[in-house]
Amino acid sequence: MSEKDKCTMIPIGPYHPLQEEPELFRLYCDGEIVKKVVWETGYNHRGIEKLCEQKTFEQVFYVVERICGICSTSHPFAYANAVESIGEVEIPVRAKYIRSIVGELERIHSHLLWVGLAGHFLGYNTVFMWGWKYREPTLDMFEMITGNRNSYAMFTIGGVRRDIDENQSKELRKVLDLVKEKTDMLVGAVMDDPVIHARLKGVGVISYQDALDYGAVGPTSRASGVPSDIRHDDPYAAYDIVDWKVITQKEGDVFAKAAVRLLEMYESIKIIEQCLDGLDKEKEGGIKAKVKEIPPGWGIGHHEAPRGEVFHFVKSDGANRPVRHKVRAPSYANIPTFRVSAVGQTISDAAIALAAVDPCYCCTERMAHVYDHNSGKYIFGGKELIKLSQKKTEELKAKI
Amino acid sequence: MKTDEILKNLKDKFGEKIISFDKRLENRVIMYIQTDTLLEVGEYLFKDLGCRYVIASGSELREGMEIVYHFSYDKTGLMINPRILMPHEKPEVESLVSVVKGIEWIEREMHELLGIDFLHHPNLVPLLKDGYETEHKFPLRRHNLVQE
Repeated sequence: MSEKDKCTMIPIGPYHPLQEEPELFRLYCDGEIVKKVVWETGYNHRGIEKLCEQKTFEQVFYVVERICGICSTSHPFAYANAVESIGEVEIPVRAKYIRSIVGELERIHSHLLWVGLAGHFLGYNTVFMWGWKYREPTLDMFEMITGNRNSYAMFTIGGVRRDIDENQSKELRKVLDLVKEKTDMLVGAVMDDPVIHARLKGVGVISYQDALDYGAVGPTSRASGVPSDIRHDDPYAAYDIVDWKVITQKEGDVFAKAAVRLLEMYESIKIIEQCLDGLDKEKEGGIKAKVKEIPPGWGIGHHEAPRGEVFHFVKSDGANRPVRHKVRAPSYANIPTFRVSAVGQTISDAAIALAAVDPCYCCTERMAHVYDHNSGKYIFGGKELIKLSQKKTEELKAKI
Repeated sequence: MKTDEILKNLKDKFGEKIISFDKRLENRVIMYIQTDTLLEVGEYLFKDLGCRYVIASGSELREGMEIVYHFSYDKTGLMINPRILMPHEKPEVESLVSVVKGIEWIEREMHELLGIDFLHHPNLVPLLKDGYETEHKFPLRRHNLVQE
C-alpha cells in the first residue's frame, strides 16, 4: 500500500460560482494532518491564447478581460502594455492617470472581497459583511466611470475609451473617503484582534526562498519579504508619477498576507487621489494616442493585479492580429506554493492556507462529500470543512 | 547593473553559446541561445544574477518549435528572455525544474499542448486535459505544418 493510499483524500473544488479559475485540490491527510497536495486544473480551459490569434489587436481586449471576473481590468492593462511596447506607443498623460485609477479601484474591491471571504471562513461573519458592504460603493464607481460593474472595456491601444470628468472625480473622492474610513475599521478588526493573531500567525508559512523558487507574485510573495511589485520595478501608466510605497511583511504566514492586502488598500487610495489631482491639472492632451498599425515584433507587458503580476507576451508579424499571445495569470504562479504552505498543516488550517493566496478558494460549498477509503464512512462536505475552521477559531476565542 | 552590462557579462560567460541578442527597448531583451546551453543559462540568470522566474512561452514556427523563457531582473525592470529553437521532428530540451521549482507546470503544459519533451522532468504528465479526448493530440500546434 503506498503512502497516498494510507491517507484519506479530501477534495476541494473544482467548481464554485465564486471561483473564477476552477481547480481541484486533493488533500491527502493522515488524521488531521495534510501530507500531500495534488492539484488538478483544466476544467475551464477555454483556449483563450489560441482564440486571441484569430482576433484583431483591438478585439483581443474584450477576450482577455473575460479571463478573470475579479481582475477584469488587469489583463487588458498588461495586454495594452505589451502591444504598445511593440509599436513603441506613448500614451497621453491623462490616459496614464485614468488607467492607474481603474487599476487601483480594482485592487481595492478585490482586496475587500478577499478580506470578507477570509473573515467568513474563519467564523468572523461581521468582517465578511463589512468587507462586502464597502466593496459595493467601489463597484458603483466602476459603473459610473466605465458603465459596467465588471468587464469595464476601458482600455484600448494608445489610451482609454472614456474620460473622467470633474463631477465623477468629486464622486470618486467621496467614495475614497468612505473606503479609507472603513479600511481603518477593518484594519482594526483584523490587526488588533488577539484571536485572529492566534488563528493566522504561523499558519501556511511560505519562506522567502520558497516564494522565489516557486516564482510567487503579488501579496503572496510580498508577505514573505520579497519586495517584488511590477508597478515599482518596471513602472508604467502613472505609477512613476505618483508617490506610493511597496508593502511587504517578513513572516510569510496567512496573517502577513492579510496585512499586506489591508495596508495596500491605503496605498491604492493614495495613488487614486494623486491621479485625480493629476487629472484636475492635466486637462489637455486627450485620452488616446493615434495608433495606425502594429509593426512586426514582440512585446512584453505586465501589470500588478490584486493577486500579483499578470503577464502577457505578444508577437506580431505586421498583420492586424497577434501571431502568438501567451498569458500568465498570477494564480498560476501562486498555486504551486501550496506544496509548502498547506503540507504539514491541520485540515482546518489548510483551507485558510489555500485561501490566503487567492480570494476564492475557501468557497468550497460545491465540494464533493468525502468518504473514508476503507470503511465507507462519511467524513466531510464543504460546509463541514468551513465549520471545522470556524470551530478552531471559537476554541481559540474561549482560551484567549 | 544596467542592461548593457548584464548582456556583456552574459556574452563573456557563455560566448558562442549565445547566438544573438534582440534588444527592442532598454528593458526588453530576447537572447537567442543554443538549446543545449539552456540549463547553464537558466541557472546563471536565476541563481547568480537573482532574476525572478516569470513563465515560458512555447510556440510552433515554420523553423521549428520555439520556447521563450521569461526572467525578470526586478532591480531595473529588465525582462531577459532566453529563446531556444528545436526541430519539429524531435522537440526536446532539458527541464529547468532542477533550477526553478515553479517551472514544473508550464513545462507540463507545453508538453501537453505542443508536444515538447522536457528531459529529466520529475512528473511530465498532462496539466490541463488529463483524461479528456481532444480533436488534436497537441492543440497548440499548427496542424497544417506538421503531421502529428
